Amino acid sequence: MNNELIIESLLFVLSNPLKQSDLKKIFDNGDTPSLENIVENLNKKYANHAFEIKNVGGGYMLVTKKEFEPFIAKILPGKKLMLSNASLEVLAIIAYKQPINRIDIESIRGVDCKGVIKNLLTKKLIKIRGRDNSPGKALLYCTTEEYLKHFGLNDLSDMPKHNEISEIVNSDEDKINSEAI
Amino acid sequence: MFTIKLENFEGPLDLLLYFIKRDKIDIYDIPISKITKEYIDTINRAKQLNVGIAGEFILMASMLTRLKTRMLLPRKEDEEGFEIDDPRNSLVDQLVQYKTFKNIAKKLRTIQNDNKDIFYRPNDINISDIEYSPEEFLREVSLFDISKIFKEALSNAPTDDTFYIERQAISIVEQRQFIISNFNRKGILLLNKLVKKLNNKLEIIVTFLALLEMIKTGEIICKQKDIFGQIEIKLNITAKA
Repeated sequence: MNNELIIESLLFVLSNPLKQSDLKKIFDNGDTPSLENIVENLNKKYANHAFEIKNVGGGYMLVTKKEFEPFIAKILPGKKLMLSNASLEVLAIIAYKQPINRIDIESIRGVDCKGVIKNLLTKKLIKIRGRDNSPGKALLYCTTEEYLKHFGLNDLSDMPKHNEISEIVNSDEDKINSEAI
Repeated sequence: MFTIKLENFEGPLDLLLYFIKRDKIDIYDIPISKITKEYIDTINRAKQLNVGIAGEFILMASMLTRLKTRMLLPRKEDEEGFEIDDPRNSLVDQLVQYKTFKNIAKKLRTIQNDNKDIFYRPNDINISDIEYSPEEFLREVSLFDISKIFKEALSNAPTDDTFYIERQAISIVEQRQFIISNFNRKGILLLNKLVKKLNNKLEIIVTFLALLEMIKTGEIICKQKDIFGQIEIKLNITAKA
């Protein structure tokens, strides 16, 4: 059977990113094809299609092309999740400083973040990853694959780099960026 | 003078950054006295502070006021006459850090907008009949999910909210017998002695009613020799006959 078609079927069926490591399970004869090459070939074929394969969340997913949004929006019930400023701020802090506890997030923002964190947990954009060693053993939060999917990022290094964040004049930013990677 | 709505700010730091940007203040050389006045005026003008957010804004107000007083005190200088230990340092650090993340959040908003028009394959495959290895099965389940489900399960758990209260049957007739059985040979009974033998409120009430009934029929006579003294119950032999 054609490897390209096999992978196409996998991409069609999956709602989470297909990774190179997943292929080992599927091609168990030891002859694992390169996912990246196959995706490239498939995307060429999709030039005249409404969908394409996107590199997201450390793998590949089948997505619709942007220009069809007006039509898709009409048939799909509800609106796509658009996060509030508060949620985006908390996500930004978690993304660059993870794993981080709630107290540290709140001390950066200067406001209570309990509700926002709960909301982000429910939406699966962040998850709990253990506890720290502080008194009270606070829960630590980090971002999820869903987070990468939501923003269409492949991995955390796709986050804005320091030259892309305007108006920053402090050496603090170097620290933040190095922590993100 | 236009009014500033506190709800439009993500907190006290956001409000301070707004002043800094509006008045083109150098973030590393904030005129504390001026900004404190402005900040406190703004809070005072917001007559109806939401209790939830008020605390955070008022905390910052008190921190600014403290900073203002510390600015008045002389500070250490190094050899070249530069001030070290600027009391504003920690506020500046906080503001710069918050500003950085505010900018990242802004960038995330653009990324979110860029990505909002693409759609992924929905997760609609029924996997309930497929046997998964435990780690595969739990892959999508987070600690938060489990705790949420546990909480739901607890609140949905059937609770037994019917209670049965046994009604004690105490009758005046029985208590009358009880009173009579407690008289000593001389036909005298002290009220407080009688009450001590009773177990609960209901027994006391019914016994008291029985006493009143017996006084009415003349079976007994009650006597109290002095104010607050012992009440003596006497069996009235003549009436009984």
